[in-house]
Amino acid sequence: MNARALTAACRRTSALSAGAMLGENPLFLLTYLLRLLRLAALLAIWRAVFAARGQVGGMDVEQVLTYTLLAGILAEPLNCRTGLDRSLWEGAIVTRMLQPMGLVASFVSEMAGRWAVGFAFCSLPMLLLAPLLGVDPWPASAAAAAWFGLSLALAIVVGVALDFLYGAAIAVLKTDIWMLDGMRHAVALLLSGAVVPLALLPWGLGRWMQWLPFGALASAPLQIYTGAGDAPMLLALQAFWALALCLFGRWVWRLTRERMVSYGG
Amino acid sequence: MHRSDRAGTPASGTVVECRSVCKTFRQRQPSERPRDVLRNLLHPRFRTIEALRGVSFTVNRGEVVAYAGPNGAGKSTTIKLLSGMLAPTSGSVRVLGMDPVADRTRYVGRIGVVFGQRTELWWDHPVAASYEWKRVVWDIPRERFDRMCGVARDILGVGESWNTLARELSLGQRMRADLGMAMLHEPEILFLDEPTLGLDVLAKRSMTRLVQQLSATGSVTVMVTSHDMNELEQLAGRVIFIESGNLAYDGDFASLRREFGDLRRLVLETDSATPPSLPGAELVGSQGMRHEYRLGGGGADVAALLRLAGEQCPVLDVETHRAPIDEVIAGIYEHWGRNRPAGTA
Amino acid sequence: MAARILRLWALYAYLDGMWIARDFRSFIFYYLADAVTAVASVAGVLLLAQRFDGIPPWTRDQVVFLLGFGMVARFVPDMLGNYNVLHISRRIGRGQLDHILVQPQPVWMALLTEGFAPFWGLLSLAPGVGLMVWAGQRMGLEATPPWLLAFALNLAGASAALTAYAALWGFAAFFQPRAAEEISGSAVDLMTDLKGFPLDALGPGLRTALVTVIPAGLMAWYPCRALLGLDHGIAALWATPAAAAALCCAACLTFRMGMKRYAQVGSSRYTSFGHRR
Repeated sequence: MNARALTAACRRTSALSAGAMLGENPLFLLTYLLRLLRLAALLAIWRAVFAARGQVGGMDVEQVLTYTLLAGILAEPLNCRTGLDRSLWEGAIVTRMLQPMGLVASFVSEMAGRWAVGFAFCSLPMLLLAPLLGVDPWPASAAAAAWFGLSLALAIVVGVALDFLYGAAIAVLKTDIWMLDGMRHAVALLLSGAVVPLALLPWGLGRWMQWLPFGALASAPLQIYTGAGDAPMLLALQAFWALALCLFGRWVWRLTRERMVSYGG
Repeated sequence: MHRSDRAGTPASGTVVECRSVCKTFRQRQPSERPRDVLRNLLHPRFRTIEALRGVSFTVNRGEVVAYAGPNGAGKSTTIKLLSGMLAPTSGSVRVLGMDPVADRTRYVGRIGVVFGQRTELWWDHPVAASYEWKRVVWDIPRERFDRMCGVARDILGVGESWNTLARELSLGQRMRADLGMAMLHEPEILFLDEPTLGLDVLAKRSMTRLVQQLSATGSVTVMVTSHDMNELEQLAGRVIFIESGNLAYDGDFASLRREFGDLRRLVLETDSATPPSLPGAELVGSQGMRHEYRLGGGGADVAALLRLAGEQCPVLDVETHRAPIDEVIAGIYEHWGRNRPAGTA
Repeated sequence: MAARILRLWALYAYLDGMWIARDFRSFIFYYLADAVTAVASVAGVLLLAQRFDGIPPWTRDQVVFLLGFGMVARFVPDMLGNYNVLHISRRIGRGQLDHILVQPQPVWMALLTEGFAPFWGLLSLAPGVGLMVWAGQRMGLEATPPWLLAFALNLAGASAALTAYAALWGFAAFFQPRAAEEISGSAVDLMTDLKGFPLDALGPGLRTALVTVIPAGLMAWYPCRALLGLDHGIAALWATPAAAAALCCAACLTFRMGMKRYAQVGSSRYTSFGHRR
């Protein structure tokens, strides 16, 4: 499949995926409303915690608020869920393998379609509401904005690789996805710094946790955006994880391909 | 749910009664155009599907009735109406003297339902555990439960998969286990919706035999839907055909053949490549010196045709056979398809 | 009726036990996943409370008690709502109510009993209780009989509020099966994501919203305020059970409406995914 055909296939798949959400009535918007309320609650808690405090862990209250706002706006890209697990569980993986566009492109383009809807109906309103919530949505600097773009792209690559490794794990373990799903969600939220910035954890835990691949998912791009982290170092770490996980994922995929098909076909 | 619940139920007579049953659904019709996104969300378009349009029929106790029709004709909707899952839009459904929706809890204790694409078995448990679950939930007396487990194990062959996890059963084993489970409380009526869907020839035959055995006792009324007409013809003495929500035929298979064309075939082997000319028989084709004719209806005089052929050339061999019922049905479906009014769902 | 419910619970407890113990690897893995999930879900706030010595106006020990209460309040609906009963929108949206409709018992009884899985989430119950006991001891909390009664009522109220709220949203699937298939999950997430946070810092409007329209505050924050004496007055102790009762009534009414509609339109989209295990 040449690049042009692949792009066209991905665009069409994304459009179909977005259309599947939009083809329904507005009830799905409630999920986004819930996300907005969660954001408002988190912002208020940070204000209370930081009251009468200056900087904590190298972050001031303004940075933490911007960090939390952006974590809310980019909740989907900062914790990639391709739908591979469900596809395996439902036994639909084989039909994906028959598509000429490839498995990764197929899942990622579907995911992008869902993100597009989330961006239009949730992320954009959150961004526009930022002044009302009393949060400065802008990046720390122009350079931070530029580095952030790269960092976000790397976070997505790491996220997709981790999602595929997770898929391989459930195929190897032949276990129920919902058993692992709760664990994965809780662990990823904690270790990625999507809810509590790693820098604010006690006993210097954050310093250790940032080296984990989960830190590359949310903490790194959000730190770069708010100017709370060393951008070149964080980007290098993300690049390392992206490369390592892609290679590892490829190897695991080859190893478990047969098992995946038998489990998910 | 005990046998005493069935006191007063007559041993014969009408058990299913559908009168002028209509069922309509609304189906969303979203536009694919990006500019219609808001309209799809806020003011979507619907179309009305008339799944059933005034269907009336009755079924007597002990009958085995095939309920057939093309895809989307309204078969599954009817089964759902009869099993208390759906209420009719208009008309009335009475089964065992009850309204399946209003009297649901009492009613479903006396019927059994098997959907070919659904299972009542607990996926990660042995078949035995699912049966035990059914015993408690249906409150089946121990004596009846043990007896019916015996039927399931011995007649349906569930014994071989008794301690196997449901998810590890083959489709045929699963269907038999599901059928056995549906029989555990000794239902008076069994509704089977596509029970042989996806089964191989042997599994289908085995399923057909099982239903025949169950119905042979005469105490169970069976209504079965399927696309496999040969199977239905073996199973049921009576067939109800439904097409586009209308009842198109209600009678036995022999009458169905008569009414819609028997499509018998006559094959003659002669010493000539030229087929004999036989008025009243339509030549389908010739292969060398074998000539195949289609005979119209049940009234064709085969002896006269053979005499006529013999006068034209020596007849070396003769075969006659009835067209498979599937062919008859295909002809009916094609006929319906041609005559269906435009816009019918 | 009570005897039948107990009998059915015993049946489902047996099935749950058999399922968990079906093989050694699954048994170990299941409890490991459960323990990790339980710890990870409270670790963020726990670490935050440690770092900032509480979340004003709550002290660190009070936050710990709050987290423990939230875990236990979540355990009860999880224990009663397995096989997606808590996520009722999935059952409705996927056409799985048909399986219940063929059972000779009221739908509410099936829903009350068939999700019962007492072995499920045991490892979130234990740390939850542990956190409460540990924090209670550090605070010198006196567990007098009236206090224990108030505690039990508020715990039951919090659990009922979560169940009823998830069901209220979930019944939207009667009307929009596809769009609302996952709505119960969103409602559960909203209630439980915020359960570990003291919500005092929010503005009065949002605070009110979080105990009424989106009653996430009822999961732990509001009942713990009353139980730990942050909110004086007898009314505060009764507020959570009363709100839960109101939510349950609303859920029952909506359920009746939904069932009427289900009898009319049924479900045209069936999938067995997540129905039973």
